[in-house]
Amino acid sequence: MEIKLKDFIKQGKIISFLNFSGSFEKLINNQKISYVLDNRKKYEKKVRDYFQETIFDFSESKFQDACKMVLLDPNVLEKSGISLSRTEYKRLQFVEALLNRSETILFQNFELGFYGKDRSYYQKLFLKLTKYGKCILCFTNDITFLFGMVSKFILFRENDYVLLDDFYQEEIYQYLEMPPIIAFIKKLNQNHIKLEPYIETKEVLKAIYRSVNSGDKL
Amino acid sequence: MKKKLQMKEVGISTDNQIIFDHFSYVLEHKKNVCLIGQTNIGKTLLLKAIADEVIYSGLIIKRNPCQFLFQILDLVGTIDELIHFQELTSEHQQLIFEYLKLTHLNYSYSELNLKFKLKVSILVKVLQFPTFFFVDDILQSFKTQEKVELLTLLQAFHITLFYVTSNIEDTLLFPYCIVMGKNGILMEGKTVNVLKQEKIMHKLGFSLPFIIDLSLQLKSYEMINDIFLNEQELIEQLWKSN
Repeated sequence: MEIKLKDFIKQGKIISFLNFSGSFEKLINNQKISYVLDNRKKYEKKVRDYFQETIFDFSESKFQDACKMVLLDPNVLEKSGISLSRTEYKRLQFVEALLNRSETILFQNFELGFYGKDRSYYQKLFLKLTKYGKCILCFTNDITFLFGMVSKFILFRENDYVLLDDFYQEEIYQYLEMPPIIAFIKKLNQNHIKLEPYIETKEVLKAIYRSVNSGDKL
Repeated sequence: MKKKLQMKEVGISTDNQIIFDHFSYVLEHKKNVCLIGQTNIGKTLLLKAIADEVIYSGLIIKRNPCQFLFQILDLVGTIDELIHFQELTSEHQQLIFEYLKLTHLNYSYSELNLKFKLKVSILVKVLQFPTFFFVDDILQSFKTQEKVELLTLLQAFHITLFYVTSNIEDTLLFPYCIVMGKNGILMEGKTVNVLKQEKIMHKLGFSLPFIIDLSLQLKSYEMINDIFLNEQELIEQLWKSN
């Protein structure tokens, strides 16, 4: 399925998309959009050469600031594109988007390859960028990356898509892996222990404490 | 002689920068291992060193066949052509049919969705009958059940999996876990024992699998006495003992 991105762009918002496997229709008109994709089709030459040729008004200090923001070692400038790791490659595209002052940044499976602490950092960074009026288009298959970041998201089905606002909606898990925290709460409900649809472990812990101490039984 | 792969003091530098060094480990046959590590610690590079795709220091002794999967393969032809189905024993044919869950094998690879391309890519490697199979963080599109099915398939083919992942939940599918650091292995052992090192894991910036995290916290409040990997058992422990 091909989608018209311009239909989704809202400045200062994170728009999330789950289970998308089609192609992105290039934006026309004057919308400024940058892509941070999970592939290696961009930096074939030395990173410095690419940035100096491509970025208008390139400055090393701005490059370093952008690197700091996306947790990328600025020494990447002296590397060749082919020697970059998967996560360096994505972060470098992120840097490029920031240097281009793109109003909209599209991320495809950005969280893949990052571990716990980094994932949390990028969630906060996405939210911060929206405060500066940026639109973040976040395409992912990992619903846990959306926890705490958005309350509504778009789920792609076989031939269409639907806007949802509940991480516990069964339909999602016809397509995606159910996060263990959701599986656990659903299993509790099957066992007639009613807990709210939490998405944070500490909330589940408190709810268990309350339930056990109030004498709930299976 | 026991089948194994030895890594001694392996290190890699790129662009005059040390990525990691002092990585030593003996991978044994029939002992699947999961490798985790911080972002950019060199996990993929380690696999590439074992595959002789990058220059490394130290020693890697490989006496048994190895296969590597870094990304979905770019293949041409039908599934039947790619996996030479007719040349396989009936037992292997059946295993592959069960794994693929397809009624026939004349689908063109290019028309498959990403998940099936990945499955076929895996099969192409598996049917080289390696002793050790190294897979780099590419199973994200698989549901847990599909990962379990892969492990079952590999076991049936007597293939040992060395899997690199950034998904902490994946570690629970493996009996043994290694945490890689800049100066070699930071922690290794039975997966549950590694994950139980809550303070160290958090200090390194790792989150914990949900069931382990919850168990550890419930244990700290003295609501349970042990770590549970099975959610139903945890539920019964909490509410039946009440």
